[in-house]
Amino acid sequence: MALTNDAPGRAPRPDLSPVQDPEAPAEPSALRTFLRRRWTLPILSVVVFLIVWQIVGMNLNPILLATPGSVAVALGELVVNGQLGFAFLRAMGALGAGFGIAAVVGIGVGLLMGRSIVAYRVINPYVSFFQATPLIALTPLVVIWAGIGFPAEVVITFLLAVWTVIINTSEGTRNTPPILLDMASVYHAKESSVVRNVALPHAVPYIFAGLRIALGKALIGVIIGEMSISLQGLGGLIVDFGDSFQTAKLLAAIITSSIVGVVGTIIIEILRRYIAPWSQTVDRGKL
Amino acid sequence: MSIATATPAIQVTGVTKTFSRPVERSARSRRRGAQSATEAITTGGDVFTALQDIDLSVGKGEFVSLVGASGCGKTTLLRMMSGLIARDSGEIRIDGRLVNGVPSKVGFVFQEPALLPWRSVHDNLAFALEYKQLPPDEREAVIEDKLKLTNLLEFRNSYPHQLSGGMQQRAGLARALATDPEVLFMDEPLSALDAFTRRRLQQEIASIIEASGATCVLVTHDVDEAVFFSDRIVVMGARPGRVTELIDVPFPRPRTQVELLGNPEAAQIRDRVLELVLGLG
Repeated sequence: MALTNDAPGRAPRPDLSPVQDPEAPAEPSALRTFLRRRWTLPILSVVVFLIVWQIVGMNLNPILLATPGSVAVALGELVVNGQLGFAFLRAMGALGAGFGIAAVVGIGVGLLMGRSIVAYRVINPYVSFFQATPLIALTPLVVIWAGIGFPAEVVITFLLAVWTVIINTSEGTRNTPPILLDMASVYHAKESSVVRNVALPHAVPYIFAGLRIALGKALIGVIIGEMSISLQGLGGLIVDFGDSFQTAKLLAAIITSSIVGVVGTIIIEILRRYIAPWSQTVDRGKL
Repeated sequence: MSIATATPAIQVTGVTKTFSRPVERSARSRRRGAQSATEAITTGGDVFTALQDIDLSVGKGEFVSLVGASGCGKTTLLRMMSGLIARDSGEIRIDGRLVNGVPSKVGFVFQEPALLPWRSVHDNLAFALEYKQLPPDEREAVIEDKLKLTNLLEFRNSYPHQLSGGMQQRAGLARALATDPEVLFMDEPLSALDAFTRRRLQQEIASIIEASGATCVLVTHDVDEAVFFSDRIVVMGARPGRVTELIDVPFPRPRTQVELLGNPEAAQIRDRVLELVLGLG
């Protein structure tokens, strides 16, 4: 029986086969029951990892690898002196602006491409081109256009995120079942109604899948933008701490940037449940 | 030929349809054309004739079934009559008016229920009524009436995935009836259901249609179903798609499954249709 079975306290299967080994225990041991609990293994895995990290770190030069303990201390320090809080909010701001605009523009353009074959053919070459381009390379150009500062970082974030949203939205829209489109034309639905009631709802799961991927790219845009343009915020801290070999603080800043991503993902998930409760198929087993 | 005393509900004159099959097609057009394409593969070349020179007249209130082997173009013909796809040449008139796009007063029951998964049964019917822009109370009355007719009133707030296949298809029928169609097109509406559900639904649909007085065109693979419903059965042949024979089913409507079961004349008609479809006639 698999250990990954996540039904807690599940009754053992009735044994219908003739008894072969009278010595075999009838009930699974307490340890096995404990291990089968849903959260046991993930937590155990993390705890073991942290312990190994701590032991290895204690035996290495702290510049090479800070221990989890010292990272926690550094995190506390940076929170107390306000550096991290400010950097966190700045990153959330750049992410919110860049990713937010990318989501709105991406969904709009994607719907247009999904519903109009002309628009698709006109726009698709650019989408393919930019999707395949390492857009970080555009950073110098963006700085020339937008100057050094927050706006340039928002532009970079937007540029990294928007293509995925466009592609997923247009694919989701183009994949609307033809029978539903036939149905809509039988009932004389206007294009606006087809988009609102048929194509867009059908594309919603695709769109949210795209948003989640785009969020990761946008966060890269935020951090790289801060690292290479303004040297402020989380990216700025990462450069500073890295350059001055403060490994514990460096890791604390990196962990904070993942928290930005986690918060973003949670916001997207809440939005999805609110906007499209029917697309909740993924967590059906959770209850 | 007798002189027509009234305008037929549907008049098809000299209709031809060819499909071209470019090498590369987008996923959407491939799927869009799939129903007709699978029915109409007559050549290996780029252009093939799905339907050639079709003439057909359907009287008001008449029930006509299109049957024929795969590839005879019956679904293509149905979709052209309903205005969902364009014809290449010839004329199709519904109620005397040339079909160009889906005419009003037309209902369509699809092979799948074709319900919007994100809308409740009630809201699916409301979607079909949107273009009519009825006042809310009138719209609610229509929806309630059609749901009552199809025994779905207590499931008005259910979502499609919460219903059985038969109930979904009934909801599709309720939606088709919601616009009070004068002509009802049905594309193998019961083919996805199990034999028992299908029989029961045939009976239900027959009485609902009887009450509505609509003219009906049904595409089906089930010869028994064609005999049960139809005043006339249109047998079609393939390569190219054409009408091979019209067979009258002279029993008065509404019928019951039971009375047809033991009827030797019905059995004869069924055998004749089968022979024609299978190419044994």
